[in-house]
Amino acid sequence: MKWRQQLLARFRSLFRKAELDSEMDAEMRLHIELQRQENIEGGMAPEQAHDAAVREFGWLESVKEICRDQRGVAWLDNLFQDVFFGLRMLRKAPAFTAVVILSMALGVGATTAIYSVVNTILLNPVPGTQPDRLMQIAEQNYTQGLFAKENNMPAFYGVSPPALEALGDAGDFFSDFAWFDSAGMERSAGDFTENEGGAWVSPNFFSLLRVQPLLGRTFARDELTPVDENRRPIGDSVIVLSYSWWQSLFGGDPYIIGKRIKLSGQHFTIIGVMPRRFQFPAGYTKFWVAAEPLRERPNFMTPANTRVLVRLKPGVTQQLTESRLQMLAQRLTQDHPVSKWGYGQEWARRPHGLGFWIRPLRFEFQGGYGSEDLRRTLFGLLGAIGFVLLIVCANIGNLTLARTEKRQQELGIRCALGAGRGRLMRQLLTENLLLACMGGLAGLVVTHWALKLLVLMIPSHMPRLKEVSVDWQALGFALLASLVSALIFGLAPAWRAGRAQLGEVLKQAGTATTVGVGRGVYRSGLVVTEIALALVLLTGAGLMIQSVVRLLHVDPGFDPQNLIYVNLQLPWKTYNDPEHDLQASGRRNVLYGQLHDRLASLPGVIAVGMGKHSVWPEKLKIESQGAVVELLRDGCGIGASDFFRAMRVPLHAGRYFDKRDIGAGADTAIINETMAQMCWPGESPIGKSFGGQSPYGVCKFQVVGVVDDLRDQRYDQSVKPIFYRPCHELRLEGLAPFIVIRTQTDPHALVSAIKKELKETEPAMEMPGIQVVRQVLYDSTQAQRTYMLYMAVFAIVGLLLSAIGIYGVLAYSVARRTREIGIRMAIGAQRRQVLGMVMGQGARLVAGGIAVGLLAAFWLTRLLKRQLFQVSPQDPIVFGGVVLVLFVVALLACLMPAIRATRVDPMTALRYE
Amino acid sequence: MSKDKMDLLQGTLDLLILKALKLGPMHGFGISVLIRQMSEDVLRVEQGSLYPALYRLERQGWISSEWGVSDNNRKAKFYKLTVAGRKQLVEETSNWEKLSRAINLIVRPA
Repeated sequence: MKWRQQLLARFRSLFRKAELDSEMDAEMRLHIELQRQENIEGGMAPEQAHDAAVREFGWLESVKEICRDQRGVAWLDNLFQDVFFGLRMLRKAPAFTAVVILSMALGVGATTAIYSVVNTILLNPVPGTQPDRLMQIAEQNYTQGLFAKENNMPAFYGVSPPALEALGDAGDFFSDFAWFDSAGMERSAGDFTENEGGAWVSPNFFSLLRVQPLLGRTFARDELTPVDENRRPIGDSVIVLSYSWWQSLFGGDPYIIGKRIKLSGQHFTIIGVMPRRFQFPAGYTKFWVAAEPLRERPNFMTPANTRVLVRLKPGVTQQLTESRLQMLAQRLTQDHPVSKWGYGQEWARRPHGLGFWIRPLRFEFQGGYGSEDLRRTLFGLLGAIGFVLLIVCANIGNLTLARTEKRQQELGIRCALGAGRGRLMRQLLTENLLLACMGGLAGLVVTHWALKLLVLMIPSHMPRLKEVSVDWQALGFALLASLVSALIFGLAPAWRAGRAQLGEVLKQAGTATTVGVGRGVYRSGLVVTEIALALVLLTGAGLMIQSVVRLLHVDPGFDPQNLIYVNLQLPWKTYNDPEHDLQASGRRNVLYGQLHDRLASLPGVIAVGMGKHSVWPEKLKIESQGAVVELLRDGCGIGASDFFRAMRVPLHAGRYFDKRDIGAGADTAIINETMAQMCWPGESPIGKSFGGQSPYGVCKFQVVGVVDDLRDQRYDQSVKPIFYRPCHELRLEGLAPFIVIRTQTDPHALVSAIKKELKETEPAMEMPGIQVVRQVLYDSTQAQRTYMLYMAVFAIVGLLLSAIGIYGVLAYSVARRTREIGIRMAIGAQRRQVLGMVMGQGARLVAGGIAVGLLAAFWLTRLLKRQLFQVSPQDPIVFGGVVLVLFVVALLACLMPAIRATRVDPMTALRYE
Repeated sequence: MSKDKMDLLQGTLDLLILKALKLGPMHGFGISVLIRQMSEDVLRVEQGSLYPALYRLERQGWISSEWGVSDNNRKAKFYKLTVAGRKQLVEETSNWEKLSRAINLIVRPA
């Protein structure tokens, strides 16, 4: 009961503040009056009696304030008061408020957005509880790069059919077991057959990942697509669509469930659509179909690409599973010493025989193709943003410190009027919290937009299981960091103000002649830190920008303007028949000739070239040298269909191919610059020969020409040693040829005409890939350009923030020293000398910051080494440029307060007293 | 002011106020006069302590207040002891007795 009355009383006191205050006043005045009367009765003169009574009572307002505190909800009352007062104070200092809110918004927003992406995509991509119980299993395997040195990196692929079967039977340590594999299906689209990419999965694939479809349902246990031994569908079945395919192919039709789609000659009934965030195993996965695992290896497939997903049973550790898998591998090796499909033989050829690796599923997202680039980019951005956040904290600290110090006098007066130290601290705390709240809100807005931008940077092939959304922990951390810096630097001076002798504060604030050394040190330290941080940030950004500029100026080895690249998809049977190779290659050459003539006769086409890229190097010997080298063998058309001429690849020596190079005995080759440098350094390679054992017998080639290195897909692609042979002579059956078309004007206009000619020449052709080369090359630098842009923005933000920081310190110092400067000028100091004095003070801070920053930058930029293209992490131009820019900007920031100092009128300054 | 004026022992002001109010409702000035007189001019309550203490005691529910008319016909705020305040007075009195006895035992050993 009692507490309820108390509470009531407290809240009453909140709303009856004025009434209670006047009651209190009346009560105390009565006290003084009664005391006065008593004094008179005691024999004092009336005036004396009054003075004595007042004196004895003590400072009325101070007593009242203490009483108000006792009255109850003073804290709530004070809070309202503080909030309104705080808002008024902030409105009175709009520049300060804006800068603090803006820096907080940038710091908090950008940090949170980037951390959210890094966390969702790389650190913690698997949804649901206990994501680390979800494991992947693969056979121990190695990369299959083009060259020997690239060939031995551990690679996490998948398992072969016998291993999949054995794993599926070893159910006692998995609570669930699923697999997936890539799937290709043909769909007729207009004139061509489109090859659509999706995934074969086990029916429980979705339930293991614990994802629900957006529409419809996923597979039942027995909904398996009937397939032949090469896993081509041989009967109607059901299919689950990805969100993006549902959108692009069906326009997001809400009544899609139950409709049918024809793929690879069979009808598939659509039973479900997955949500947009579910992009697994790849960003471009269009559909999922369920099937039995393959029992035997199809003849054209690589042996171990069925990916296995398991959920470990509670209590089963990764180590335990590893040892069980080891036993499984031993048993499999014994069971399949020599099998029909050759698994046993293949396992025996591996360096350590058959073995298994197991890792949490999350690594799938960190190790996929292209994710290395993305990971480096995101971590680079995270580093940059960390620096921005540090600068933001230093800046907020600096500004709050300056502001509170400027208010020493105000605080002193309020202290004198009866405000306790706690009360003052509370007031400042409220003000800083207000600022932090506004900054935080603005930060949320920045986070929202920055996330939208960042998601665009994620390459389409990156798998995703989760929506990229604001990471609240990161937001909390960033908010807390800026809040703490505001509080520490905002409250420290208030603490001192409360402690200091009132008279001292009042006197100092009014007539200070020189700045006290003690508090200057903190602020100078902050400015030095800020400049050092900005220097590191600028250096990192400068190196990245330099690197991208170099990248964009790389000579691709040809003229990419007005050039189209066509990848042909020829019907396998007609043009690649190993049993009747002579007929097949005859048909190929006829087709190439027809294609060349038809395309070359299109209006607007200047030249058409043909070529083939090989994917496997050959080990050949250079005559007159002992060592065996690995070389790529690419194909090239001859005469008019020579792709060097169409692409305008400069010839360094010798000649292009012509009719002389076709036919028995004409074993000629053109080599690229890299091969020339590698095999015949310092000599002319023309007329030199090389050769050895190739899969097609003994061969020997004579060099007739040297061409420039080609970078036709990416500017930063590393160039391999390549020799070219005429396509006619090249017996690389499996390779589809490519065509390059040089056009007179905008190549985009010719795309549909080219498609039509191709279809008419070979009606059985699948949808060809047609690319405008310039666009491909430009897109290849997309990530770097975006990265450069972000880095540049961060660097500029950092630079501006530290300029604001140094400006704040100097402006404050000049304001404090107005009287000192006045005296100096009164006794004869020239404006120039005053300017020099202030600038000197600024320059010392800047120089200190630059020195510290340079040391840090030298040490830190090494981490950027792998992201840099043709730029050294200690590039002197970048370092020099950054120091110069920082120095100039910082001195400009010093200039304004310095000029203000010279405008000090000695008379006014001295009269200030 | 007399030379033998003493500062109040920490925590004893509440006891004195409650004790004074046991004699009947009175206003702040009355309390301060009463304490001075009862202590034969030894104890003087600072107003800067008296009023905050009154507000605190009121908040704790040991005393209550109402406006009335003083002896010389002025509007004044009168404080009086509540039931809870009487209990508190008993408790504080016994505490004080224990304390003063303990101090006497040390200062004036038998």
